[in-house]
Amino acid sequence: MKLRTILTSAALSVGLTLSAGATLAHGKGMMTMPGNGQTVGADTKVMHLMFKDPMQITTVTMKAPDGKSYKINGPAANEAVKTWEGKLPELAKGNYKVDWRGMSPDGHPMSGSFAFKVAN
Amino acid sequence: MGGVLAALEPVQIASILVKAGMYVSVLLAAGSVLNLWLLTELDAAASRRLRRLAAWSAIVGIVFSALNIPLRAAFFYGGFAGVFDPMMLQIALFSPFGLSIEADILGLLAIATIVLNRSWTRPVAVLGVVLVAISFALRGHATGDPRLALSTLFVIHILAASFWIGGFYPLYDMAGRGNEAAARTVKRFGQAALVMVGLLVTAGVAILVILAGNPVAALTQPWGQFLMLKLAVVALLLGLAGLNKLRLTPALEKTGDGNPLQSSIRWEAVAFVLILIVTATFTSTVAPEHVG
Repeated sequence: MKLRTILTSAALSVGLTLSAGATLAHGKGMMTMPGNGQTVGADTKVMHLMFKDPMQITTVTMKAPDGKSYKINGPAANEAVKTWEGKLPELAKGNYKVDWRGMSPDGHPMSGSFAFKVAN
Repeated sequence: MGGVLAALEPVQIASILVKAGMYVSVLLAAGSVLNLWLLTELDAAASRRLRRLAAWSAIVGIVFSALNIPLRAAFFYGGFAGVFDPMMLQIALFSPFGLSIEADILGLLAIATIVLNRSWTRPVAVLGVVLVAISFALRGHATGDPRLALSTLFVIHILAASFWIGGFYPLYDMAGRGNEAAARTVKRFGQAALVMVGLLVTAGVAILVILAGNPVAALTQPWGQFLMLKLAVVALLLGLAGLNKLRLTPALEKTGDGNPLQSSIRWEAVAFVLILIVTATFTSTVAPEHVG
């Protein structure tokens, strides 16, 4: 009986074995400009990703309504920033989707995405 | 959980497979050394085979561990082209994750020396085991607060899990002999396993409470659902371990027939690998949210 109790309890703990492995976290608690679902004018020139802690943003890509993907350039990927600013290409009317990748200060790989709309 | 799996990208799938390979090989290498040290009744042939297994597992572990770096670079880049991107590789290499992989590889190199069977190789290999266990505490949630407590708990957890997976091969090997030394070896492992299970319980429950807050509430998250899946396989593994200890070990002592025990160990090994595959999947895709 004692052994069974010990082994049953172990199930709970073994469930955590190795869960210290790097976990892909998603960008919770961050803000973007344009915001997710926001409609902006075609004259919008920059986008911002804002975080609570300094983040290394490694890649930001934007899918335009015509299906083309643009790499958005901003601060160097090895530079940790709380606010990341990227220069947008010329925007046409339609729906855009942005995907970003990066690393948090504790080394977690991070990713996130948001969408916005451009109206004339 | 299904949604998380359906959304996996090719880079993430590759990362999960590499991580699962790393978990199996690294734990097997470390666990083989622990069992060489603990199972004093192993005969010369079994001991030699276990040393070879430790060394080969360490070499395979080095390859899998090293592959994590370019794959992490590929994630940062957003595609496999990142494998060759110097900036992404540099970020991956100098991240806490990179440091952890470097410590892990150093530990595995030390473990691989055990194949030489000289007086100095055992202490070096044991140091390697410690380094490998510490490497797991240098990344991911082990680096969160309270760091010292989490790191210590993870090191204990990894050592206990290594001991378990590392016991399969020598027990299987000795059970086939069916002699008195085999019975004593299996019995000794069973006694040590009780201590290790105790360590797993204490460390695991503490980690769960620290990371997730309320373990029951955590089960409503995708992370908790992966954990449940894993626990289902763990339950099977523990059932087999109980069967080994309570039925098959006494039967081996009485009849000298190790076949039933060998068969059970084979299934245990399959269950353990499944557990590590599930672990590699959920530690690569979802994170626990602190509840309560």
